[in-house]
Amino acid sequence: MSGTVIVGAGHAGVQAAVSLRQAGYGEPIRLVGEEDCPPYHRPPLSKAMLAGEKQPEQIALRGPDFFERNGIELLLGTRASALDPASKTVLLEHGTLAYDKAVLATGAGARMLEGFRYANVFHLRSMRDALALQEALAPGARLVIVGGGFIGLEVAATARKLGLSVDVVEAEERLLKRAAPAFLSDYIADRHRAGGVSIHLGAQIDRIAAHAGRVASVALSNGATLAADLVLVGVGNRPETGLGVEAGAATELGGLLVNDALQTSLPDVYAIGDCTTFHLPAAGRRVRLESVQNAVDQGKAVAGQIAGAGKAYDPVPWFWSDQFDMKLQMTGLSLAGSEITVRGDVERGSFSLIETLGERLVAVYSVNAVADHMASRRLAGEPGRFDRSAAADPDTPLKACLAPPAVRRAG
Amino acid sequence: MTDEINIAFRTAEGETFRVSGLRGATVMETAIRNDVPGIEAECGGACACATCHVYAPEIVGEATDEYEQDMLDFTADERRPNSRLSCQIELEPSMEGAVFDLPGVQV
Repeated sequence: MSGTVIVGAGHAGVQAAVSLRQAGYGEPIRLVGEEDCPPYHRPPLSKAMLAGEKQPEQIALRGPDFFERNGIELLLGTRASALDPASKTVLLEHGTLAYDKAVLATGAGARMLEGFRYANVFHLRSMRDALALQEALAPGARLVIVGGGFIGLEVAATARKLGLSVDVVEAEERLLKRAAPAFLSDYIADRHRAGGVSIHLGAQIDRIAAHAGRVASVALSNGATLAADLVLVGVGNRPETGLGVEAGAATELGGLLVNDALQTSLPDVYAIGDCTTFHLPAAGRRVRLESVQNAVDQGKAVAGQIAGAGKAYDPVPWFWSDQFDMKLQMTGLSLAGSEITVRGDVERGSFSLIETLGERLVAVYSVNAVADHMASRRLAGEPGRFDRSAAADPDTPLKACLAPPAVRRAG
Repeated sequence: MTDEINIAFRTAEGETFRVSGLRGATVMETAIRNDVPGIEAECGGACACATCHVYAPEIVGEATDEYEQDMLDFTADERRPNSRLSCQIELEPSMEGAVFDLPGVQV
């Protein structure tokens, strides 16, 4: 038996390997990672590790001996250059790995912008990116962040904590437009402004003034000019689909298309994590999610498929972000035509936004309201009629706002 | 004074893992580094997932942070008075020899 070859040693790939062993899978497992460093948690790269509060070894996904002890062959600093579904092999720079099952967990890379090739322009996706950015985050330096998404905002908060001046330039008219309701976007923008971040909305980069290979300032479409000692480009990610695509795998929304068993269109080739597009029943559409939750849950699910105890992948999406004193936590995905109910104390900075469509609970966005968040993760998958007016009262637990379907309980 | 602190984890099945960690490292990190089973820590210590639940010895003390308190209502296994999220406990010399009991399930 050739066993399973997993390409990509991030959250998804590592989870798949771990879950295969936990499920009693006894065949060889090879886990191929392009980066040199042992597998690590990615979220701290923009927060605790960037701030210097955690060292790289503190954010390792597993201990140094874990993989060997569990019979998982970890090939670090190893690039897979091709996948051949006919011969069932993965080609490496030096050598070939035969597989019975292949799992593509290749993730996503930072999207680059044209015209931003300067020595003081940074991206943030990998450990190497984080260490390079960390070294450049000198107190007093002027940081311009292109993109008001999660990466940009988390780095903005960290950089303010480290004593930099920070400008965030966002092309849309509000922050986090794809991920958050307008109310939350505005709240987050206010919190960042209060923390000393200058936010420029509806603004594009018009011109870059460079000197000796370094950006010196950027001119915005609204007429402003921002002096810059360094620039972070955080304008989203591009799924790493090359291996699958070159082998003929189908794609959609930029990701490798997988069915509810996480199979690609190629025989015995699965895909998991940020590089996949899949049908999410709760959203009624195909989605591509970039989150730890999806990476970990798909990692567990694909192990179930390969080890023979698989069930259809039907997750409750959730996500978190820490910025300044805000713990943002989100459950579910927004749907068109839905309504927002505010629950809790916005003034005191502890509240949730409840998104409903008719009597259906669609999503919950929490700011320093962990009980709401955790409850929403349990409720999101439940059938029943959700009472949004009851949910407006923060003293009513969210659980009590969901009436079970069909049969009503007496008393 | 040494910076290495010896602690132990006792699984729900009664197996004991003796490990050591550096002062200031969290109990969760120490468990992960030493491959102690029964600590999932899916969020990597951001206090966002409640999958690093432990029953802590008295020396560690109860959770005082409001956020951790709220998270503890949502652990997979039973919450007890000494329930803590191990990502929120930093090792101190006073914890030398402390034994942490692991719940039966984390997710």
